[in-house]
Amino acid sequence: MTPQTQPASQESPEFLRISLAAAMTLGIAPGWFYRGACLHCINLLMTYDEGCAANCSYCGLQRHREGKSEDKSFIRVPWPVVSLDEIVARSRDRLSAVKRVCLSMITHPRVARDARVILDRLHRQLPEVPISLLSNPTLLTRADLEFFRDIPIDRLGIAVDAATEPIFDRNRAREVSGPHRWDRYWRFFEEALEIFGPNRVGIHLIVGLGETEEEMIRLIGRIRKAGGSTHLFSFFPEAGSRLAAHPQPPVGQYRRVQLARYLIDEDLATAETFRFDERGRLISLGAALERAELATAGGTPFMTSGCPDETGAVACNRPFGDCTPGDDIRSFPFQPDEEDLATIRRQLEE
Amino acid sequence: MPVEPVDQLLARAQALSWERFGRRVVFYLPGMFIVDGVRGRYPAVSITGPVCGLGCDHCSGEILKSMPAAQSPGELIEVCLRLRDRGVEGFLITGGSDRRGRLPWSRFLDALAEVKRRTGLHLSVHSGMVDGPTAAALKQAGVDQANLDIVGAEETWREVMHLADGGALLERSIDALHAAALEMVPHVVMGIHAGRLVGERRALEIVRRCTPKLLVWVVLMPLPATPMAGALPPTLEEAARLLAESRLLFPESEIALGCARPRGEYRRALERIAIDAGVNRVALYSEESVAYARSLGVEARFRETCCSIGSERPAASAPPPDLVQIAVESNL
Repeated sequence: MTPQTQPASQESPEFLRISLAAAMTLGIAPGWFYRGACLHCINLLMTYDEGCAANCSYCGLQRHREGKSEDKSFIRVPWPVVSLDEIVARSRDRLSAVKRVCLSMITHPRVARDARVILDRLHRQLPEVPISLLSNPTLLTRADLEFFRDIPIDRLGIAVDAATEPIFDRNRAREVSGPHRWDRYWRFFEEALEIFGPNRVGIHLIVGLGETEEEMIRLIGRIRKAGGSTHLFSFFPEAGSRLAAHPQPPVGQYRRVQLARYLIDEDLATAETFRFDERGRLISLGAALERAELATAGGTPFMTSGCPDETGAVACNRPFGDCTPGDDIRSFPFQPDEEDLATIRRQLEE
Repeated sequence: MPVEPVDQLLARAQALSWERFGRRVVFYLPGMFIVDGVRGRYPAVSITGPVCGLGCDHCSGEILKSMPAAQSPGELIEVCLRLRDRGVEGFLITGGSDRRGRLPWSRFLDALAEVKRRTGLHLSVHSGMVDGPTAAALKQAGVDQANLDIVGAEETWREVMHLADGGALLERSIDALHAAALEMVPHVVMGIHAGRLVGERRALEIVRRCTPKLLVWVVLMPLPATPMAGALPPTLEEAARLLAESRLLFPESEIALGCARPRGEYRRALERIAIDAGVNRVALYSEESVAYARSLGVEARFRETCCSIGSERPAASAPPPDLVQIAVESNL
């Protein structure tokens, strides 16, 4: 018997946490996908013993949540820690299923340096697979962005999450003693657009943190005008987080924002076309109505918005990332069927 | 069996063509090209911009770079409406493909239907590899015809396209287009395998799965910045044989010499051979070829579209009388 030693810590860049769905795609975790909603993007999360230094109210990784960092859930599921070697080897064996790899940063002093190492290795060892980085504007510089572009990674994500500055402050910045700043995020977005070019930068936004439909949709319109696009999430409470008791947004609100986002990001309408009532609820699509009806009939606007595979279809479909498998699907990880579409049409009117 | 002399082969092909289709050649100026300041009226638009995931060795996406890009459905509608206002006759919607040879059609189907509805113009696509539902959806959206590159040799699929099972995918795509009653216009690239003739005759056999109304020949253009930059196109005699053989093999189909082929002296010589072989359509032609055709008593007609578009000009737009003047040899 070898003497018992303290296990070496499993930290980035050698180790990463991997989403449960990605672990299933790579055969690391057992399980099957509800209604066949297989994930084709390997979502990776950087990991450090100290955990994340940010304190976002809705996030399972928040600093003030009880527990060791490796035990904390993220988006309500466990993220097993796996070595980068194993992730690469398993991805190589499953290239037909792996359409994209995405690295997510947390807030930790080493992420900028370590992300360079990880992304460079992912590109060299999986050159066929496009790479996304879900970046941390608080910790990255312009030089980092230029380095990432040259690897190359082809898409950059920025999780702004909150649709207005007060909501951002309340949930991510001063009011929760968090390090992130609204202004910094949008300056970073502009820098990212300069460096990566149009259609390469995606902003994550969460519906249901207290914003109106009008605030959310007008922001999506500004992002598109600038050359970016939006990846949308419906708020879902994370147990143990500060917002554990905060309700999901009404499904009708989410459906209307999904439809508007689709029309805006596919350049089929601009936000100026839409009309809202005095409470900010979307009440008219104006000239885009016919296109909206066609799109609704196909169901695509209600599917997960995320980075694409090389066919242009969404690779990062995040199965049940903003809902539970069952009747109340928010972002569809697959094409909605006729029954789903009947429900969606009803929900749009709610 | 002795090999038939090429002159004799050409003469047989020409005689058959003239008997079936009359002594006539239609000369085309497609919309991707400007000859002496006049642009053709059938532009190509790329739905992937300059991006191609397949990256075949003869193109590496280079051909996409010169096309207007429309990378979202809304942009496609806008670009097409703008081009319509400039007086185009139709659109060739194309783009790069993924590693399985597919274009992202599903995202653009509603937009194609809107373009068709609002312009009423002719819509062609470079379909790439399609399955049954995609072919049917393209047809349903109002697409008039699908251009499809026919590659004959498995080794070409493997070594040039880097798509090992391309042959099987291609045959399935042909069947899907046929089942959807979407007209397929097969294009065969002569010398696609770095200038060597490897699968051209096999490609003709594949085309025979569904005898087309029109077969288009194009020729390897060794493009700078591609792995084939140093290749040479097939010899003129090899090209002559292929043109004549295809003419004889498809007596009921029109044969076209398309726009994608080497420029300069090779271009003019090949056009002359094409006329000798009884080819019915010649794209991006030289003035000498028009004169040569006329010297044989062949009637020359003109269109400013892709050569895959039917040779009967729509009544809406009369042919410009002086196109021959316009098409004086440039440096193309």
